[in-house]
Amino acid sequence: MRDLTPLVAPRSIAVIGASANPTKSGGVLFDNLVKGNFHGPLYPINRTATQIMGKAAYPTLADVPEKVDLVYIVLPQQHVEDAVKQCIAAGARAACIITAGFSEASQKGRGDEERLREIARTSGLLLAGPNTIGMVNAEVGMMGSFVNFPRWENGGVSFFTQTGIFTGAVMLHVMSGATQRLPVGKSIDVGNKVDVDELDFLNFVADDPATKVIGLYIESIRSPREFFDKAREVRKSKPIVVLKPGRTRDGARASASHTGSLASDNDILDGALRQYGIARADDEDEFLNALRALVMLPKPRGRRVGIATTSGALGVISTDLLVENGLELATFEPATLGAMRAILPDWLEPANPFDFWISIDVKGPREAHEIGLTALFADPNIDLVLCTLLAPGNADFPEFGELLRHLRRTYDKPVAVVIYGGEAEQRWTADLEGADVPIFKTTRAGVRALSLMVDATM
Amino acid sequence: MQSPTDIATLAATARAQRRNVLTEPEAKAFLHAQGIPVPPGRVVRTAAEAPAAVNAIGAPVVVKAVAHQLTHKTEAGAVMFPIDSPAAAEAACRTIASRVVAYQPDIVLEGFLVEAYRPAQPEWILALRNDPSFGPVIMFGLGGIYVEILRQVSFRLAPLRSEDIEALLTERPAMRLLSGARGAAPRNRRAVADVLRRLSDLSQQPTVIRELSEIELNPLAVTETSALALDALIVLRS
Repeated sequence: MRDLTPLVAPRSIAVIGASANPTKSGGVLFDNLVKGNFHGPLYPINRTATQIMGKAAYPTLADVPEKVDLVYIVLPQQHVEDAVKQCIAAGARAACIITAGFSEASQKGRGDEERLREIARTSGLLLAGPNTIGMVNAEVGMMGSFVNFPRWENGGVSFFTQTGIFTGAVMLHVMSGATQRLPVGKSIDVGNKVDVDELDFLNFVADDPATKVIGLYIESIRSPREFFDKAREVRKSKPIVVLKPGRTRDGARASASHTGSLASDNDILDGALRQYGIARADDEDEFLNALRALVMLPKPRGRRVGIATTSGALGVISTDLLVENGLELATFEPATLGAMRAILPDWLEPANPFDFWISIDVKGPREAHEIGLTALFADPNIDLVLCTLLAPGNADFPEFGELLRHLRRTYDKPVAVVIYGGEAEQRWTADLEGADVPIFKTTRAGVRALSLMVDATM
Repeated sequence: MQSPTDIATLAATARAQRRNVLTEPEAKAFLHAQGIPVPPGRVVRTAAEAPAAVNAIGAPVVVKAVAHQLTHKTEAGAVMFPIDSPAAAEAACRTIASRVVAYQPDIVLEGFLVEAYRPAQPEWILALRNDPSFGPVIMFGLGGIYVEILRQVSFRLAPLRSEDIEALLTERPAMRLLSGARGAAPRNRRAVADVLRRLSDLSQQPTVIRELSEIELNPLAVTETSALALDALIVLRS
């Protein structure tokens, strides 16, 4: 087992290809490292400059006065292999190749990448990339990417991705405020995955106290058996969500047996993910929503859902989605039914989904929501609460955010909130900022997040 | 003609004959020795020997061609059922022989497998596959001729824990048929679970993993009382 610390949490960093030019990747990456206030020394490597961003520059890695932990390589493709060899000669422990143009590009690139793999294997250098946007570890102030992330929020989510630019776009999206933000402590993009892989990453985050939830975007698993064995152990304390595309790729192959033609990598992987308790998201939206729910909410004790709604239609839609996603409708306790009856007219018997729109007329929006939602949060037969709420003027009340905060704190129960309609929607959302109450755009998004949460934790 | 039951001998014999698939009697002898139920049956070398086999097993029977080169028996017309009498079994052997020669003229027919006929409705498929990337995996699901289209099958990595077996028996909608549908009695899920467990145990035997790439029970008949491999394919590692 290899220790990824020099790569993920280095004590010192050099950047081969650092420049003062803000239009070049090497310039932006170095600038980001400096402005991110990396906790250790930064060494720009540049043949001509004496200083970059106020840091003393060195013509070659060999000139740096210490053995650095991590070297970013941001050079034209033809110079990369030589730079990797310099890393080994200079005693660096890890390198991250930002440069593209390898196996993803051409047959020649594939050969170049194979040689890098061999160099890493024989030297023991930890190698990430090529073709990556880089790595972020907010804990040590390492913003090691050529993408600028001005609003990065540190936190308990750790990402491992095997892709080029996708990670950058996704991170910009979650940091943009377009949705609730996602606190990501570490984001390790290994690009074409020449060396460091998902198993190394699992081994690292298993012992990383800052990591609470793990998100993996993977296109392949290098050593499935070892990966799944480790994942089973890690998930007990740190739930894992996987985004693995290729569900519809034609897995059929000519085979002497039915089994041979049925056993596509995707189908076996799907079974293995279920077997080992790893949630599988279908797309980037589900992936981020599941991670958001997992990092914000306590672990569910079961799969019984209580639905609070102010729309009969949303209640039925929620029920369909819950059942389709392997969750169950909870049966209310007598005490819950009693509390609900207090806000309903005599002729209406409460049920799950609990639709209390009529109570808004009877009791006013504040009391209706307070009694209705509290009944669900308090019911021991309910493991997860789904609130699908309408927010037109007559349902609006100023204490909504306060009520949800109170319920979330008092009952420590997983909850997903979907809000529809009116200007209150934005205010309610804003009032829940920092309250660890995840809000979803649609009922489906909310249900899928709860379902993936159950997959990852139970 | 009694097949050996240990996998090393079976594999060595097959390889010496330059084939990577065991014959059905070989596969069933092996499975039977592993405690996986197969229908009672006998291999006869000539059609004339068939009536005695029927008398020993009891009608109705199914008659199948046995030949190393014959991998698609149904397509060749080399399976006939239900056969109700000793005389009909002898006639079936002769019919199968002529069909097989027409289907594949260079084939060497080694004989016929005469087996107790057991209907399977629906047909199930159960397999152990030594996957090149995942290692031993176990598949269970709805079999039959539309298996690739319906894809009502699930996979788990071997070895299986009891919760994995439970998941395999419930994961796809078609598996509700095991509980009995349209008035049918519930099928013996415990018998299926037992076969799954035995395949899982096999996946942990070094010889099995070294020699085999696949064991496919298809169809597997699941009745109220038992699970029975009506056909079996064992593919050697190449």
